[in-house]
Amino acid sequence: MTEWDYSPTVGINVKRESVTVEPEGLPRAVSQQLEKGARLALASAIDDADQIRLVYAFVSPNPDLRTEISVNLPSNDPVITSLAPLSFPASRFEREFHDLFGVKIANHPMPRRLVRHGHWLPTWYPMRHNAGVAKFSLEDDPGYPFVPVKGTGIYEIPVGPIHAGLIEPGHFRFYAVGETVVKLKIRLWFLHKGLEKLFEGMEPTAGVALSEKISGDSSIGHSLAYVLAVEEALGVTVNPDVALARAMLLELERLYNHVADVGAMANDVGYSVANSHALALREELLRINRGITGNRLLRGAIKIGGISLIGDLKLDQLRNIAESFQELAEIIVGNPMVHERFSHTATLLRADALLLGALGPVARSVGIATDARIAHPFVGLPIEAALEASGDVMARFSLRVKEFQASAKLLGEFGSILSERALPNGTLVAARQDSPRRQGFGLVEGWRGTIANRVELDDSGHLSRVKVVDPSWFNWPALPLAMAETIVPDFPLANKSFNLSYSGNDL
Amino acid sequence: MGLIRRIVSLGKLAQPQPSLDPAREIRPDLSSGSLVLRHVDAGSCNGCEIELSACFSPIYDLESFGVSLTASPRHADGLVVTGVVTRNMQKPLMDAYIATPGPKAVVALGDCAINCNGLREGYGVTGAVADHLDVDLEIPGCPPEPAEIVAALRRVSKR
Repeated sequence: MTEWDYSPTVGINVKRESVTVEPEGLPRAVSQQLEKGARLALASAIDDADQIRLVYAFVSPNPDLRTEISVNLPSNDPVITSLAPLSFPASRFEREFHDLFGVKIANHPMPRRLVRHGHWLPTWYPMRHNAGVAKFSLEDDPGYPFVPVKGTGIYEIPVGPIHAGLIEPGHFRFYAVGETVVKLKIRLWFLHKGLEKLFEGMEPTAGVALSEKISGDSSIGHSLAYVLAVEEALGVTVNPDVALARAMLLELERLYNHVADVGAMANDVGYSVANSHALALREELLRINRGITGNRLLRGAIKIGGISLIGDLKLDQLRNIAESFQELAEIIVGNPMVHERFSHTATLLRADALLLGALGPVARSVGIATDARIAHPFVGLPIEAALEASGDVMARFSLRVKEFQASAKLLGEFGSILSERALPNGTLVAARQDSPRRQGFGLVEGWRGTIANRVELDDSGHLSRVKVVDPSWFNWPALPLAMAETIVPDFPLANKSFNLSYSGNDL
Repeated sequence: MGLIRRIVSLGKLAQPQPSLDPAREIRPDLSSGSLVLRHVDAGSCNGCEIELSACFSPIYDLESFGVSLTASPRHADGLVVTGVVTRNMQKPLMDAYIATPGPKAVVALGDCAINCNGLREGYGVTGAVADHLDVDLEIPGCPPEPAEIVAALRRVSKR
């Protein structure tokens, strides 16, 4: 085993800053952060009864710096001026503030509803404490005001929310000329359950299971981001071996999802036999997951202050899977038909990805080295961000192959920690009652990208606000841009190469 | 190594499934030997989808028991519904149900579809599948494992 120092505690090297500004001072404070190269990782509104508090969490790497900018608005008339000229992600968080909290956004260039569907009452703001029970009927839906695209030969293809395959629901509206897409509009939030409000009032320990349901394929990623946030809020420090074991579970999650994506991309160009091989490999990985945690999706393993494991990781089995996967990936791209379909298809431009704040494999496939394991580590590991440059389906395919192998290598070096039976087993022992923070922020590099979770606790130690940001929140707007000048029949392939979460986005 | 050599060297991956107990067969009014389903995610976390897709992997080979998924509800013998039913998916779910020709089966796959699995109080949740449709078959689990899904669906496909 390679010698490597891993930093012993969660966030020991994290520097935190927080400032409260007047509403007029917000644009200036935000632009200062952006000029320093910080990224808006999360924006959360909080109903404090007499006021609505907006918190913008900016993060930057090396050193790991997390800055929160808060602004307080009167709850009877909360208004801010849009930050859209400064940040596209901020402009989308603002639309969420409006739909869920009733915050008015002045000068917003796209003041259309985002989260809210047509049949919701426009004046019902569900995340406000006094929102009451929803009263609305499905018959009231006026439909979504899609921006009409007009011109000779332009026609419209509405698709979904229920799609042809075995995938999550969302509505896609294509405007095409011949086969070429001129514009694509995506309407999501069909899966909006009100998850963030379900956290409110819960014991922090009870929230772990709920966080595993944010996106089932990212059970570790989301529960870990949540648990890191809660541990920061409670002042809990975890054993370094526990932190390392958690990191290994995160890599196991990356493995089974990347295998599935590689197979699914082959499937979407008609190479279904390759998908069958990928599904067989995924099955082996899911069984490994079950052996280690008792659950094929690794559920129940992450605990506040600890971890719960029941079995061993067999390293030789993992090595065989990695070899078999490499062979399969080479067979797939070695097929000239596949190669041609993957290359130059659904190309995302680097400049667009930067503007949108894209994350994860979507960003890394245009050469943006974003990776929370490097920028915001909770345990020090020898990780280099795998990168591709071309931004097409091929880049997103090749990147996943590289990342799979990098994760398998990490597990080969450090995965034996999962077989360590002396790990503290899921008990919250060190909660510091005097912890002054009562709030915490977790950042985790899930297989789709950086997952952010911000938690606030009330005086009794219960959750008073949980804000979840799946990387898909940032990446969804990138998909229509990549579809520009792509033909309609390539959409399933393009969509699969992004493989964004609907559930994690819709919450 | 090429694809053909890989296929030959791997051999048959399908795992033998237990024989079907005829006493557990349901919906005798539906055809025997095949079951074509339209999948509807009405509010799932995507966990049940992972396991449902695993059923169609070569390991479980659900199609060999007559069960397949179809793109259109018009071609389906029934629906397999995952997740709680959200407010925003209630109408699409009902549309898909109405579009499915009768006689038709409704399968509630996973704990969320059966009993909301702790999400019932969500303001965007209308309830479980049975609050909207008559459910013929419940497959419990969070998510249920592929072998359980295969065994359950064979009770309807009768194969």
